[in-house]
Amino acid sequence: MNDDVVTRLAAANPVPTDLPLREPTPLRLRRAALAAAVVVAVAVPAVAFAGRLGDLLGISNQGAPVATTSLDLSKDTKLDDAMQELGFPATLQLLGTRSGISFYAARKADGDYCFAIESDAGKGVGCDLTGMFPSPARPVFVFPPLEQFAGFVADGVATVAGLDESGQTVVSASVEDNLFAATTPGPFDTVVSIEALDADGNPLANWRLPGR
Amino acid sequence: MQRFEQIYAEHHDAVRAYVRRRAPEDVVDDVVADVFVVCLRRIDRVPEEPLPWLYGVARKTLANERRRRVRTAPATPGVVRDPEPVGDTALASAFAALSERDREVLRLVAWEGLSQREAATVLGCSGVACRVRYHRAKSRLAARLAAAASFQRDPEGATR
Repeated sequence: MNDDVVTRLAAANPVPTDLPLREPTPLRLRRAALAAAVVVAVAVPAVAFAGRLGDLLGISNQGAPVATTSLDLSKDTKLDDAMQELGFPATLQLLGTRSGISFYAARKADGDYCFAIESDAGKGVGCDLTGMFPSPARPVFVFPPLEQFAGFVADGVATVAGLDESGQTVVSASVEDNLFAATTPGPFDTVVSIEALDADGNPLANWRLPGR
Repeated sequence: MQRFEQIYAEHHDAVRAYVRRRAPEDVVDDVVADVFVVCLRRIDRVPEEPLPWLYGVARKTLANERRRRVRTAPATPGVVRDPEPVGDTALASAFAALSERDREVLRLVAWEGLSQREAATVLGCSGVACRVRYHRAKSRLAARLAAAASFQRDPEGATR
């Protein structure tokens, strides 16, 4: 009898874990970007493609150096803590500004990339902890959950698209100097996967965003 | 770092579901991120079976979030909520009549799929104490459901 009660309670679970999780509502790219960025770096099944990202770094845009402490995001206690935990270097490279978003990147001593973005809409930091970016399997580093569709790409990627469950394009952005930022404001709640395309529109890689 | 990546990959969705049951969507990602920042920071102290530990961190993080919101926006309703059963009115009523201690241990077993030992890790109590709490909570819920069912089947009898 009592066990029946627990079975009945289990059936009334408000968020069953065996169902796909509904996309969260808008995110201010705040500290959440930390874990989100880690998601991108972890356990993403990827479709490999013929390697075109053969140079040393895979990112031609080397940017201009700025002190990490000079950024607004370092004044956010949570983000500052996160950057210290992740081992952000003291200097980042400002790669450019797209759609009001400033993009920063750096390589840590172990070779992993770290990224930061700042805009009026929010801020975010993240690192590729697996060292897979940039690679043919992982040519894009995107800051989910996509209130702003923006991120960093390796050389050879011309367009980045966010696809819905049926594979239809929800949002896309062209790449300039290894950066992309959609001009359309988010949120893009229905985006479940990311696709990178070359200049001819051919898919280079496609992977599902974890948790989506 | 490899262990953190493995923990993240294996348990992110479960932690997110746990938080989603207890917090509105607009804070879910922040809370989940905080949980994994703590995990990253304390990776050397994360137990071999990390999920109950992660739920425990999430529980404390939600409590902190609740306190923070009360301080900064006391009029904000439902910032962090106690999740209730859905789709079963009688069960929801009986569940609501339990104490929060009873409800939480039942949630951990029925919804998060934890063993009683794992639930003890989340709640910060001993295995024995948690087992007792769980069985008592289960009995109380069953009793309240039985009473409600009896009343519904025989409303006249209830007034005789």
